[in-house]
Order: sequence, then C-alpha cells, then structure tokens
Amino acid sequence: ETKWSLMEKEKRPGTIGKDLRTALGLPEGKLPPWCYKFKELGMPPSYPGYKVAGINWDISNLRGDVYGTLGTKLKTQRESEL
Amino acid sequence: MDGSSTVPANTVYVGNVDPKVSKELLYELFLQIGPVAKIRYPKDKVLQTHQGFAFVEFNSPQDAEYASKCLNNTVRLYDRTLKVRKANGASSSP
Repeated sequence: ETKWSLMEKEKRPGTIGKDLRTALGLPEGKLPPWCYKFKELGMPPSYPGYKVAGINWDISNLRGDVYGTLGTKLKTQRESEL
Repeated sequence: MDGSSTVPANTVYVGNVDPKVSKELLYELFLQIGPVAKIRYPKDKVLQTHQGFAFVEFNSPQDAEYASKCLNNTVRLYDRTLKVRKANGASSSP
C-alpha cells in the first residue's frame, strides 16, 4: 500500500502522464476524450473548482501533460500573478 | 470503522480492460473525474495476469454515477473501449 500513497501524491486531476497518454493513443496538444463529456454532463461533482482547457478554461492552457487544474491551485497561481 | 469492504453504490465496474493496463493507470484515469478511494483489479491466480475488469470505488454514489456516464464508451486504452457502469449489487441483468 505504499504504492497507493505514492500514487495519491503524484497523480492529480488535470494532468496525464506519459504512460496514460500512450495507452490512450493521445497526441500532445489534444484534449483527452472525457473532456468533451464534461460539456455534455457538466463538471465532475467532487471537483467544484475544476478548470479544463477548451471547456471552461482558455485552450492555451493546454500545455504538455496539463490540460486542467483544480480551482484551489489556479487561485494561488492567480494570486501570485496579481 | 472504515472497513475494507467496498460500498456498492460508490463503485463502478470497469470492463474490457486490456491486460497491459496497470492499476496505477486506472487510478490516474479515474482520478481525472473524481477522487478514487479504492481499486480492485483481480489477477488470475495461476497466470498472474489481469482478467480484463476492475472495480473502482469513489467517495460518493454521485461520483460513481458521474463516472459511469462520463467514461463509459468514451476512453480507449490500448485500442480497447472501456465499459464503465455502476456496480450496484445487481450483477446479472436479463
């Protein structure tokens, strides 16, 4: 179970690593397929501040492994910019 | 009190999983749409390979419901389309 706590630390919503990207066959610069579902269904219920590029966040935020962020993180980023 | 038994209403069944898919990969994928509490991803005792299905447990029935709507027939892992549906006790339907 050490592996599980490591995963909890390392993985975060809005970011997909190389292995998952490979399994999905998803090229960089493309949105993961579930993002289009967010449009249809609304955002995930447990991530109230979730920002996803091309959905409710500027598409230019789609960079490298990151396509989205949880609101809390975005807030601190914004605050430091101001 | 928080025992190891899974809560069916919080759990989704994931089918058509390619054996190359690791538990870690499932975690990373399902985390994208909700916090993952637990994953059961059984292996064949003799062959030590995954058997093509998993159970992913969330913190709430709402998350499980959302996951089944959001990820069923949406995602292909190693060219196999994932089937995601609420586990919810009733294992066999007519």
